[in-house]
Parts: sequence; C-alpha cells; structure tokens
Amino acid sequence: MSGFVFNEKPIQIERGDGSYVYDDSGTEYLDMGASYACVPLGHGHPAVHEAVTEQFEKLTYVQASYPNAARTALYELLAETAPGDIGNTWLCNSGTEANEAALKFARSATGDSKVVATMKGFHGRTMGALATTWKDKYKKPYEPLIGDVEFVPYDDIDALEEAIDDDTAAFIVEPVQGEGGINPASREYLQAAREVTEATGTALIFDEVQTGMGRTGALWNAQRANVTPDMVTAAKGLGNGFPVGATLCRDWIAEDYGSHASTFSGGPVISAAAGATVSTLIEDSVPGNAAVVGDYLTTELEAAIGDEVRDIRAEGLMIGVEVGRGANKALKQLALNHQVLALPAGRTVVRLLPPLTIGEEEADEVVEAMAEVVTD
Amino acid sequence: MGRKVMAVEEALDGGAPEAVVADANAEAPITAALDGDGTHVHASALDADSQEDH
Repeated sequence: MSGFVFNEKPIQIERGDGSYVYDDSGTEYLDMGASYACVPLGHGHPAVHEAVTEQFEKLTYVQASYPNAARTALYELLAETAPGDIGNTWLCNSGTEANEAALKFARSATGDSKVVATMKGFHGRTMGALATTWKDKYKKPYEPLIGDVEFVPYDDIDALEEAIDDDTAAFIVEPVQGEGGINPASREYLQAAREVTEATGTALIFDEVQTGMGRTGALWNAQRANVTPDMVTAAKGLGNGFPVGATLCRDWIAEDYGSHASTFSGGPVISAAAGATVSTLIEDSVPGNAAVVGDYLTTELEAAIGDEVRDIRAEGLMIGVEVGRGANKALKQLALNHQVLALPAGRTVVRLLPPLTIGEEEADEVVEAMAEVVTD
Repeated sequence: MGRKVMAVEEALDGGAPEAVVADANAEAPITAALDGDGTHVHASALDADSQEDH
C-alpha cells in the first residue's frame, strides 16, 4: 500500500508542541517550515484545541445552507479584519479551491475571460488555478488547461500595464511569491496593479494563501501595501492545521459571483478552528511578533551568512535564503544534522516559514545551523 | 562551469524555452549558437531536478 505523496521524507513525525515537532524515536526538531506555513500559532495551540473540541461535541457538520453560529462568527471576524471594504466570504477547504473560486467569480462578475498571472507564480493545482501557475512541470501532464491566461514578469509595472486591458477578467498575484523563490513585490507594483485594474474594470486578486494570517507582519500583506484588492484568498495558516480556505470579496464581486458552491464549505468544526486561529492571531498581536522576529532573524542571517549565500529575501517571517545550487542538500543537512526542518522554494532557495510565535532564541538556533550548513 | 549551469537554470526558470552555452570567441558567435553550435539546454531538462512544492 502506498499513497501519492511528493518529496517523502525519512523522518516520521508523531507529535508537535509549539515550534517543535518530534519523530517516532522522540527526536526533537525545530519546525521552521510549519508544513508550508500551516501552523502560524504553533503546534497544539490550546485556543484552537478548545474551540474545535467544544464545537465537535455540539455539532460536527451541517451543510452551508443552514446558518451556524461558528460559521457566522467566522464570516463576521473575516469581514472585520479583511483589507479595506472587503466584507464577503466564501469558504472552502484549501488554497487552490480559494483561487479557483476567485477566478470563476472574476469571470462571472466582469463578463470577461482573460486572466493575467505572473511568471514564477504559484496559485494551486486544480485545473483553473493550475493554469495561472507558472511552472511547466506542474502543468504539462494535464494540458490542455483553461485558456486565455497571459503571464507577465513579476514586479514589472510596464509589463502589467501593457497586459491588462478592458477585456481582462482578473489579475492574480502573490504579494510575496512563495514557491517561486520568496520574491517580495514592491509596494509601488501592488499599488500600480490596483490602479490599472480599477481603470479597466479588472478584478484584482491577491493570493494570500501563504502571505496571509500575519506571515509578513500584518494580518494581510495587502494592508502593508495599503491596497484593497477586489478579492483576497486565504488558506494554509487560516485553520492552524485544519483544512480551510477562503475567498474574500468586495460587494461587486459577491453580488455577481455565479453559482459556485462546495459541500464542505464552512463546516462548523473547521469554522471554529479558523475563528479561534484568527482571534488568537489578533488578540496576541502575532503578526507584530512576525515583523519583529522576522527582522531579527533576517538581520542575524545577513550577518552570519550574507557573504556565503547569493541572496536573502524576506518579509516578516517569510524568508528565503538563496544558497545557489543545492538547496536540497542544505535542507537535508539542516534536518538530519541540526534537527531544523525547512522547505525549498525551487532548486536554489531554502525557505523559512516558521510558526509566527517563535522568539529570538529559536531564531538564533536557525542562524547557527544555517551558518554551519552553508559553510560546510 | 557551475556558474554557466546556474545561469542556464535562471534563464529557463524565467521562461526561456531554451538556453545555449556557446563560445563567444567563435566567428559570428550568436548566429553560430542559434544555428546549433554550443550546448543547448531545453526547459524540460529542469523537470527532473526540480522538487514538487506549494
């Protein structure tokens, strides 16, 4: 028996506590990947545990057409905390579904079909979201995908203005590219994207599946850029380990979204997990911690290994260390020799996406391990 | 050689369908490279070396 799993690791993880996970022999690992940013509050957070347990005992599941207190509370919380006047939420189970929905909503609300996406972008693996993902390797076995998608260089205002016209349904963009190598867009670029999409009646979609939930120092990266997109998508950290995605929309999108739906949209247990996660992020000022510790970690990495690596790119606790060829080798050494779990972002970048609750002590641990690995 | 390989990878990652490592001292080096001289690397060559990711 086997499952379809990519990049299977030689470590069997059995337990987690805060920023650490433990394998089946009890070895402790500092979790600097948080399994792709999925546990911003750390493993086993009591607020999430309590919310989920309480909801599970009351009601495990009811379809979305019946109002439910946990789901309604999540809708209200997301509306209160979303960028600008975004006030409508469609819930689903993952990031790719959130982006898939955003693309459908954009086509419905604008009546246009063309989608503009960015080179090196990643938006998921379902057919629509995959069509806006850059890397050919993910796409080729499944072609033909949906058509009318144009790719533009990332962070290039001129190229964006040339590509978007009155017949464009959507521009989808990650404010900081994750899978593409941790590439932060300039604020000028994101603001220019807002201007050109507004002028042409194009829906601006911020894919915040990775940058959202405080990762870059604000609950949403759009708030750091001072931009209100027409849609923001979220997943990964939204449920602190529970599978939930969200497409947040402004009114003009929600009023003409078509007829999209999902059976498991906003189940009560999942809604309780997401509600507890977002509440705790805000109440404990976790995004602020991500900004402070992110700056500290980036500064310490620059001092320790800045001359040894090609580049260090970061926004909050979304950090990429471009080690040149051999990111996989570095990741293996980090895990097996230093008990630090990190992630790749392409062949050349070691990606750090730790729980946002880490402190300077854990940051120091990582710097020490990275210094030994890159000078090895 | 490492730098050449890295430059090729960057070009292909950035969207070039093909990259050529060719001799700049040859006669009409660019035309010669486009005509087939040098080492041609196609984008699909990266697939085996790239990790699945999110």
